[in-house]
Amino acid sequence: MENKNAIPVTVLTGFLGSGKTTLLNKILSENHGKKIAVIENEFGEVGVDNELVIGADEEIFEMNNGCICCTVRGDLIRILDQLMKRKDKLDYIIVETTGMANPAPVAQTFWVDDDIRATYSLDAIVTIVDAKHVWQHIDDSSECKEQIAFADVILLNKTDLVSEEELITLEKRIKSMNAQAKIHRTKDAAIDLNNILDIKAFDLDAKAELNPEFLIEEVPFEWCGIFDFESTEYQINMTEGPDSSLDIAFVKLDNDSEYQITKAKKSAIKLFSEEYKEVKNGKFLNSNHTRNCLLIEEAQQTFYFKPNKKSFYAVFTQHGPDEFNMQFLKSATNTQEEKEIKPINEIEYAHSHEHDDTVTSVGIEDDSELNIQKVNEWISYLLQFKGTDIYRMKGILNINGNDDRFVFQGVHMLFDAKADRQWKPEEKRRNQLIFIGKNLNREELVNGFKKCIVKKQLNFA
Amino acid sequence: MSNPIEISKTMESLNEYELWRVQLDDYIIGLNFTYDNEILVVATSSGLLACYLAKTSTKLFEVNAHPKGLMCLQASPIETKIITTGQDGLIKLWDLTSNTLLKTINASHAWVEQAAWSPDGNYFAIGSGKSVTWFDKDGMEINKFETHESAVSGIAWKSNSSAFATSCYGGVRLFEINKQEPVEFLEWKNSMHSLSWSPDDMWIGCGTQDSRVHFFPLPYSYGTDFEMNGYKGKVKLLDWTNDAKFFLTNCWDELVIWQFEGKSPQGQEALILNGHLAKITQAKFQNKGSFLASGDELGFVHFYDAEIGNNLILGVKLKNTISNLCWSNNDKYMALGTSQGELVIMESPA
Repeated sequence: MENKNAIPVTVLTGFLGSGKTTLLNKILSENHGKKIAVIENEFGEVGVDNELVIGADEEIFEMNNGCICCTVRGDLIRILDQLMKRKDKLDYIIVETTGMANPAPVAQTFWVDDDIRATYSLDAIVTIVDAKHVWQHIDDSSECKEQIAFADVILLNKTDLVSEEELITLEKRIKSMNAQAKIHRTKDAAIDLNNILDIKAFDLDAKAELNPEFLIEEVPFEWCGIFDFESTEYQINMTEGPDSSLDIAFVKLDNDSEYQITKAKKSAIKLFSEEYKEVKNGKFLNSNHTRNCLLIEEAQQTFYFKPNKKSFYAVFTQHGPDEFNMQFLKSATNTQEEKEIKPINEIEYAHSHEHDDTVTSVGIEDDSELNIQKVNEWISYLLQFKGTDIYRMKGILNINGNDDRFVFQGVHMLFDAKADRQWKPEEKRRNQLIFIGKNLNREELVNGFKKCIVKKQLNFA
Repeated sequence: MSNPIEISKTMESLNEYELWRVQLDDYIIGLNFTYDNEILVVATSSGLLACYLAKTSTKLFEVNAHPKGLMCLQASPIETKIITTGQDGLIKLWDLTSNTLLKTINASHAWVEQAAWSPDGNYFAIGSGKSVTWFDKDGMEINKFETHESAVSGIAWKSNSSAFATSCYGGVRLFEINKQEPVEFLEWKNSMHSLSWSPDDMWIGCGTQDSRVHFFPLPYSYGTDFEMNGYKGKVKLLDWTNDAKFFLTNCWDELVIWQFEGKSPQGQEALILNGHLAKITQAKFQNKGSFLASGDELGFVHFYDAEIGNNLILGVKLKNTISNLCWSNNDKYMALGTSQGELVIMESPA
C-alpha cells in the first residue's frame, strides 16, 4: 500500500446519528492548513461546511479476479480518478460512508485498483460509535459489527449521555470484537486530529506496531478465581447456562502473588488452546494442569475434583461463573456438611467471544522463530479458505535466520507483506498477530501458527 | 525487438515538428479539432474552454464553461458546434463560428461524465449517473433511459448513426435512436469502464475492472463473446483503425494491438509496442490509416505504424504527463496536452 507521495484517505464510518458529520465539520474547520476533499454518500444530519464535498451513489462492483469476497466501490474509483486531475492539488481525502455501509469494498478499492493505488493511500478506517444508542444495533446489525470490526480507530461518542459503567461494558464488548482498534472516548466528536488523520494504519512502511493492549485484553477465558485448596474432594455445582459446555482449567500456584497469577494466566492461555477432556455430570475433572470441558446436559449438575496437594490454585473458566450459577463446595464428609468455598481473589477478563456475537478478534503472541515457507503456506491457506470470514489481519513475525521483522496485513483475501526494519538488539523478537472477523476458530488459528514454529535441534557436544 | 530504454534516449527534438505552443495553467482534459480543422478547442479540468486558430495559435474565445469542473469536450463531425459537460450536471452546446453558447441543458444532479456525437453529426448522447439521454444536433431531447445498474461508463455509436451502446456494471445496452428502451442487453457480470464499437459494426469491446478486454460479437445472437486477458492493469484506452483491422489497447507501459479483419483475434499473438518507460495515458489511431500516437506519464509521445510493428517512427517529449492527444481530421496535425497545461500543436510524422 505504500507510496510516499500518495494522498492519504481516511474512511469514516458509523451509523446515522453517531456524529460523523459533527466530526467532519470539526476536521474541516480546524486550522490545519490542509486542503481536504470529502466524498460522502449520505446527505443528512447537518450539512458539511466545505467547498469540496462530492456526493456519491454507493456502487459496489464484484470482481471476477478469483477472490470471491473481493468487491470495489465503482463510484469511488470514478471520483478519485477525477480528483487526480484537479488544478489545486489536494492534501487529504475523507470518504464518509453511509450508516449501513460495509467498509470492505471501500478498503479493497485501495488494494485492487492500480490507478487508485498509484495516487492514493488508505490511511485508516475510523468508526464513530454512538455510546448510548449503539446497543440497539450491535447484536443484530451485521453492518454495525462490520464497521467496528474493520476499524483502526473507534470513537466512542456521546459519552456524556451514558455512565462510566456503561462505557466500560461497551468498551469491553467492542474490544472483544476488534481487539486491535484504538478506542477514544469523545463528547461532541471532539478529538485531537492527530489521533484520526495521517496515522498510516495500512502502511507497511510505517512504524508497524500492534496495539499491545489486545494481548492483555484478549484471552480465551472470562474469569479467574484464586483458591486455597486442600488435598481433599471438592465439587462444582452448576445449572444450565448460555452454552452447552464450559471449559475450565486449574493452574497450581506457588503463592497468591500477582507475579504467580500473571504466570498462571499465560499457562492458561496455552492450556485453552490444547486438547480438552470432556467431563460428564457426576464425574471427576482433572485439576492438574488440564483443560476440562464440562458438559452441561441437565438443569443441575455436579462435577468433582481433588487437588493433588494443598496449594493455591488459579481456576480459569471460559465464561463467568455467575452465568452458570457455579458454586465451588467442599464435599461433605461424615462429620461435615457441604461448605461453599469462595475465591480469595477474582479477576474478570474481557469476553473473547460473545454468545450471540459472530465477530471476534484472535490475537497470538509468541517468541518462537518461524519457518517462512510454512508461514507462507499457512497464510495462503487462510486467504484461500478463510478469506471470506477474516475481515482484517495484521502481524509482525520473527522469521528464522532473518534479522528483519516481517510484517503483513490483509483485508479479506487481499494481502500485503514485506520485510520491515531490523530487529533492534535490545528488542525481544516476538511474533504478534491479530485476526478480526466472523466465525474465527481460535484453536485452529493457534494450531496453524504453531505448525510454523521452527523446532530447535538439541546439539550435544 | 527494440530496446525501450534506447528508444527513449534517441528521441527526436520536438522543435522539428512543433507548430506552436501555449501554456495553460491547468490539467488539459479535452482536445478537439473542429470538423474543418480550422479551430482547436481545449478544455481544462477546472472548467476553462479555449479556442485557437489551429494554424496560428490566435486565441478566438475563452470562457469558464463549467466552474465546478469540466468533464467532457466533443466537437461535432459536421459543424463548428461543440458540447461540453461538467460536474455541475450541465450540458452546454456551443457554436464556434459565432463563439456563442447556444443552449444549456440541465441533465441531472450528477456529474455528466460521458458525451459522444453520432458519426453523421445529427445526434449526441450523454451519460450522467445511471442515465443516458440522447438529443438531436440542436440539443432537443429525443429520449432518456435512467435505469442502468451503475453510472454509465461509456457511450459508443454505430457507424451509420442509427444506434448507440452504453456500458456500465453488468453489461452493455444497445439503443436505437427512436426507441426509449434498449433493444438489446449484452450481459456480462463485471464492471465495464471503457467501451468501443468497431467501425465495421461487428464487435463491441469493453475494458473491465479486472484488467481484461471483453468482446461481444454482433449481431449478438450469432456469436459468443470472449475475453482477452493477461493485461498488467486496467484497459482504459480502446481504439480501432477506421477499417476495423486493428484494435488498440493499453497495458500499463505497453500497447497491445489485436488484429481483427472480420474475425476474432482469439488464438493469435498480439502486436506489442513496448517503447514507453512509464504508464501510457493516451493512445489513438489516426482517422484514416494505421498510424497511431501514444503518450505516457513521463511526457513522452510515440508514433508507430501498426502495419509495420514494434518500430518507433518518432518519439518526442513534453515536460509532463500527456493528459490528452488528438489528431486533426485530415491527420496532418497532432494536438498534445499535459497535466500541467502545456498545449502543443505539431505536424504529424505520418
